[in-house]
Amino acid sequence: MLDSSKWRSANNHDDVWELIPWFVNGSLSEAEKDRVKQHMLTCTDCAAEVARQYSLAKKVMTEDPFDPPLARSWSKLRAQIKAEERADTPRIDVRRWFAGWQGGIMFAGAGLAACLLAAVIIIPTDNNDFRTLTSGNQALQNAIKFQIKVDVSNEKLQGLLAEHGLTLAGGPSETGVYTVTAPNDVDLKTLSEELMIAPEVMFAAPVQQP
Amino acid sequence: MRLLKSIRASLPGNMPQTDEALLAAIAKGDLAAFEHIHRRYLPKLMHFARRITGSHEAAEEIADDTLMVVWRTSNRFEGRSKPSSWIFGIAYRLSLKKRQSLDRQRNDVVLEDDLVSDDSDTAETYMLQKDLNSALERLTPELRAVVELTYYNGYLYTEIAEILECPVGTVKTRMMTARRRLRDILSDDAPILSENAVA
Repeated sequence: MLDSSKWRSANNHDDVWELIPWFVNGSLSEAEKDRVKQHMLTCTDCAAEVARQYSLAKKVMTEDPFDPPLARSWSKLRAQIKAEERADTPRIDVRRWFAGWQGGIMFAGAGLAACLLAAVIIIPTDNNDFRTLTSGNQALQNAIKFQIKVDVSNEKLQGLLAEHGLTLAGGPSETGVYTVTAPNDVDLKTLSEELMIAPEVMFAAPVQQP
Repeated sequence: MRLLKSIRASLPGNMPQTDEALLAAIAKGDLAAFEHIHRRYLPKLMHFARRITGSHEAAEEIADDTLMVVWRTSNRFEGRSKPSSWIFGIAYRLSLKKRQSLDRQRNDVVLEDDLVSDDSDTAETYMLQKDLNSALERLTPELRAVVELTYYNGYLYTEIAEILECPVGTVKTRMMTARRRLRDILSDDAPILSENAVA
């Protein structure tokens, strides 16, 4: 028959024995500390072990003192940090530079596209087979091609077309050019000039008939 | 007035003092906060790493590497453990790696020495050393780490479990094994035993 009080006592002894190092270093909770203290009153083995562990702890804490090379270590780490910052700088700057100028670059790109479009239309050519962006085809009569700014919404575009009685016939192309048809009695040159006044429109011109 | 404030802010006494606050400042790239952590932790880290590796040079390297990891990754510290546990956890893993590479080098040297001489007194001389350093040296790095973290750093077993990334039961078992082994080694009638197994 197992004596339960003896079993509990042995169990408590093992638990306390296990806790002794942390009793010695003072990190145990108050409840655990009290448990170790209470047990030590009746257990000479644990009391002796506490004394041994105190001695060991003292040796570990005082053994082989040395001066840490604080200045040397700090110089090394600071140099390493600076070197890493220098290595990272170009990459960060390019990204930031691009992010900062992204809007400007897009605007410049759109402007360049408009200039190219205008140049293609304005420069005269003797070659009748040469076709520009505003060159029409046989099927498309009374048409205008125009280019709008990149940030113009679909609603604004629809409003613009309705305002001038235009019907969307095609577009946008890869360069953002729309083709619209106007009523037969409308002067396309005048209408194109009116469209150009609208802030949303970058360029407009009648489609040249072949 | 603003100048005065900036001067006051740069004084060491006005630095955020808790480790948590310092890590938060480091995460924003505050070099002064990092210097504070460096001053606070370098000695402890070097001592700890030296116990694990047995080499002063390696310990300095590990302490520096640990602090560089802190500088680079302090933004990943989520506060689930104590900052010191997190920092010592980094040092522990770096120390074990270094210890392994040092052991490989030592084994190479021993093999080479075996080819040219038979120094039979070496083992005997080593066994006669009864000081704590040599006793600790004879423990495995895992056991030494528990002894060091307990008695030099004053950590509780739960904190040591966080640092070593192992269960609390393993910490207690390792400490029991280390105590038993140290008692054997340091006692006058110490039996000559091979290095003990790690829990």
